[in-house]
Amino acid sequence: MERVVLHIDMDAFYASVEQRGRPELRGLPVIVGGTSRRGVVSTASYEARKFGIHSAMPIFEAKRRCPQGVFLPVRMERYKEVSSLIMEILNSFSPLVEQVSIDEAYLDVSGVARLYGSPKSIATKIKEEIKKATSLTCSIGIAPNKLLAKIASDTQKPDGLTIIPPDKLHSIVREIDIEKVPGVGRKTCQRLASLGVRKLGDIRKLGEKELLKEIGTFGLKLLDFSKGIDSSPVLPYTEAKSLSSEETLEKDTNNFEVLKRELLSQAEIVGRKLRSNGLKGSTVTLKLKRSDFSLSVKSLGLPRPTNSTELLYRSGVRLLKESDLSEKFRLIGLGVSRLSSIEEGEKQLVLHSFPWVNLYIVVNFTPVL
Amino acid sequence: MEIKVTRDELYRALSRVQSIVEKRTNMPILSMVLLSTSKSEVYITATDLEISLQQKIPANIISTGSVTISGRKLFEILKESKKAEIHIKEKENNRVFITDQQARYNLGFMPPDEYPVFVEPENVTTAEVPSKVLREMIAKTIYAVTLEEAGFKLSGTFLEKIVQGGKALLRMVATDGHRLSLIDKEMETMEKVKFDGGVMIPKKGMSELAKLASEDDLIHLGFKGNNCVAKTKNSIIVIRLLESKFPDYNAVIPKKAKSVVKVDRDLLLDGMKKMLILATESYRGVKIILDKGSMELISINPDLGEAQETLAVEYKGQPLEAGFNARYFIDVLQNMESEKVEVGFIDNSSPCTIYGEKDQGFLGLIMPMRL
Repeated sequence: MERVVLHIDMDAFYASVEQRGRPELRGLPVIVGGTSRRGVVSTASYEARKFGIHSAMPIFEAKRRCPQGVFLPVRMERYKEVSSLIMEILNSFSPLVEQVSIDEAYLDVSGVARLYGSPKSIATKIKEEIKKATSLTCSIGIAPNKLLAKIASDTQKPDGLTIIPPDKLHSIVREIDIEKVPGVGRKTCQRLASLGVRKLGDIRKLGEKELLKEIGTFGLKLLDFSKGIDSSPVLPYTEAKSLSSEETLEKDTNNFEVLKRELLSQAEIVGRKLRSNGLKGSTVTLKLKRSDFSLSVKSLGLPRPTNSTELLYRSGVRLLKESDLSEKFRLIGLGVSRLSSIEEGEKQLVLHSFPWVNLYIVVNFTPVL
Repeated sequence: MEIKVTRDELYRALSRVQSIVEKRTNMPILSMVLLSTSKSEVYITATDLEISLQQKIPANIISTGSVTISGRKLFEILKESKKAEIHIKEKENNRVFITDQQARYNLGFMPPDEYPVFVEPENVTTAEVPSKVLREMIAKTIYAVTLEEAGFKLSGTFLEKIVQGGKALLRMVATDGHRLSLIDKEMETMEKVKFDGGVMIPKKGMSELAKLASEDDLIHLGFKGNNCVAKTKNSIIVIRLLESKFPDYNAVIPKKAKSVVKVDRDLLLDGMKKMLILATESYRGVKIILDKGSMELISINPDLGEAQETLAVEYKGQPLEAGFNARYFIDVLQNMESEKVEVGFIDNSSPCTIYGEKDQGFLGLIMPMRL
């Protein structure tokens, strides 16, 4: 079966999210990035790119080039939210979604044609749905592998849709500029240039041995690339997105105290799951099922991710207080989502061979009820 | 027992024991202080079973004996009194009468024979230690001791006697696994004191030792069995040593730094304090960027924003970048005395070292953060 891989890349993602939330910014050069003098540009809107502004450019340079530009700080939380919406859409088309960054993903759609039609119509549908849900545009590349899909999505931006059909593969691969190949940095590029390599096709003039000697094992990969071969699979990210616990009550009740007590034991179960998986969550959800099986679901966001039983419990109680308790419930559940790894962010390194450092691992315990 | 004592002296003694008398009530007798008499002095004893402190002050002994009084209440009584003399008299039925000739207090007390016996280990060989030096050593290490979090009382300051160039040195080392502070001071008198393999004194014990060291010019310091004993003219403190093993700290001290910066201590200290303004529980890192003649401090907190300062320093090495907890730098620097300090780096995952010319024998070690 032919492999079909899509590479979806959001157009000027941060800047577009800002423009979408504030219509008055539409059509203006918007630059999102560090706001201090030392900051760099994270994303420039297409209007700003006309001034020669690109990501990683120092902010002061961007200000010099475009003094009338709208400079905004990075609001990561907001972008993450939009990103998860987009990833959800992608997941509805294929289980094989590999998110490579906040605004970029690969999608393996080999074999879903019967469900969703040709790759091109899948890509069109994806673009439509993303536009509908977020009013943002993206560029999609379609190719037999990840490498070419990425190169394809990059050839036409914004709002592009580029297909590299298997029969045109070789002629296209040959003409790809070597610095556009993923994994080729400045150093490798210089080295290759000195060997007379400017296009990906030029790689084939070099032998395996020479490539291995000059750039190591990555050289062999490049050789594969130059033949249009990239067998790396689309690896879906399978970590849990939420954790929860629920319990059907012994008998239907709307007694606040009884429900509270139930919440405490569920908070402990969820807290323990989080801790044993090295995770923290920042959205707490309370689920109540009424006697007639209708559902009430309420969520609240925490200022900071947590795995503390106490905090989960208190959040649950807060949601319970906000709930309409006039009818009886048959089931109560507590969940956390927007999970992140404890290891994320800063990490204090420890002096080697110091035994008691390990004592700071959170200890699981069950409160006596 | 009946005594008359100077209010000021008793007040001073009582304020010293406030950090020792137990505030929790699992053993009520520990919230008491024991007053007992000799011919011309009254002994004031307090203990939390880990640390015992006995002080003596001159008194007019009308009749000998002993009483226990709530340490907290006696302190408050003395604090409110404006009179020069305090009269304490034991009454029947375990009651004690206290007056300053203006206010009169009748307090119940617990039987003195239930008070934990103050055992001063016998035949302790002690060394005379200059209080000033001891205070300096404690101040320059105590901040690095692991906090006694979640009931783990495993850690304290490590004391060790080392011989260097034929001279006896007293060494103190404290660490929490993220940083380490070490200080050596020459101490000839230590030669006769035996504590082979070193001892570990709990953090609270160290701070009590530091207080004791501000009372007198000299302290007699010794070790016996499981205890550390320290005496001044009027006070004795006995501290139970920790039994856990101190890690092999020598292995983590880098032999030689690759890049050494010389920087004004105040300048760096102030810089770190400014960076700390943006620190929160999740983001406490400061990035240090070294380049020829400059040290740049950057603090980036995604929740708040960024802060930056560039310091002029003496540096000729290669450019280098590493992240650190600003708090750790502040702890080290504000306890040093040198005008200029030498900060040595290896790379962004090896400990950085801090030395100062006027901080003889001192080494501060800080592990980087990955930012």
